[in-house]
Amino acid sequence: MDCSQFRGAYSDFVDGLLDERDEVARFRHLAECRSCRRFHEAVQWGAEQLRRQPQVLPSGDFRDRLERRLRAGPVRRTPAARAWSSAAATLMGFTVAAAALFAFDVVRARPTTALFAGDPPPIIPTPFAPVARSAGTDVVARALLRFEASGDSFAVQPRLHPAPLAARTSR
Amino acid sequence: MALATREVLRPLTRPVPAGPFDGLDDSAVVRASLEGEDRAFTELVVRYQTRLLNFIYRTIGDRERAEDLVQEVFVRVYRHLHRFDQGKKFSTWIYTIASNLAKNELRNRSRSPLVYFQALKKEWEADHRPLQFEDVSSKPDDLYRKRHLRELVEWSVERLPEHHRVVFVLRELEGKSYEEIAEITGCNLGTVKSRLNRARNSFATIIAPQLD
Repeated sequence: MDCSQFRGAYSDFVDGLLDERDEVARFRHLAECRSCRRFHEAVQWGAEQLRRQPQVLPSGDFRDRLERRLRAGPVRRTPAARAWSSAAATLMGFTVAAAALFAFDVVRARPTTALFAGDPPPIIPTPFAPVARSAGTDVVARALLRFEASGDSFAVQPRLHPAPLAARTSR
Repeated sequence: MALATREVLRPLTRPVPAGPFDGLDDSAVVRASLEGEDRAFTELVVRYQTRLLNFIYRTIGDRERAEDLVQEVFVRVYRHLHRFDQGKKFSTWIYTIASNLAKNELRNRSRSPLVYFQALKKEWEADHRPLQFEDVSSKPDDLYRKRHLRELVEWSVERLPEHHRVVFVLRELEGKSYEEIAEITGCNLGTVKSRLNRARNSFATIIAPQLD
């Protein structure tokens, strides 16, 4: 092994990255070559002196200045805050969508059903005359019947038409 | 409607009571900081302020400016901690920020395009010139050597080309592995090894004549 080979892979040798055979060859070269031996000692000694030098310490007001800089800067949003923000935005989106659907449904149902526009015409069930109902009012009426039958009640519960005689008599 | 949580910053100068983060690794402290624990970020500052200061100081050679840059490192960590990939090592991340700031500082100093070009040329030559052998014939004055050995070692490091100096300091002073150095400097392993080898050669060329 010559000196250029030794120094070409010097870092691998110093950091223990060579296989055993290469490492032994380099130790042998060190024993034989004064120049490379001095080179190796210089690097080891110099690095050791560097590590032994006292550490430079931060100045006394380092943390005060850092704190001022942090306060002056923008607010940091933690993942928790961002998660809440994201959830709030999602909830807002659902709310808007639900309101839009509700409004759409109201507008669509308006031609056949007036929820609050006066009293609907009374429906007098007769054994022979079918009850005149629209599809929309029928759905809502059934819902109202279920709640009346269960004894529950809404705080405000508009009636489209009087409950059928059968439901009233069952309470 | 944003629900950003405003962090209440307690004074960092207040003595940090021993206990809550002792024995915890960096990832646990980072998690605590992200969950809103003010003292956790202070713990990170305490753990890294001196190490980063010495790393940046050894790289750029200016203590006062190094302290400013360390502050900048912590400001960036504070603002972007939520983006940190907690599967990675925090020390590698913070050292990467520090290394980039140090390199930018060195480049910004070369305001003159000519000076910058000369610095680039010097770096290229440092990477491509043949490895030098020491000159064993010189015998410097012993008294000078004894008085100025410490300054000599520092001066030897400062004389290294910038990109050699960074890997040399990260390896010899900070004890970083080759893989960590590669990640911090954004180079591949081969480049790290090559630069470290040349840094050690240059260092020895300067130091060796001063030894008996």
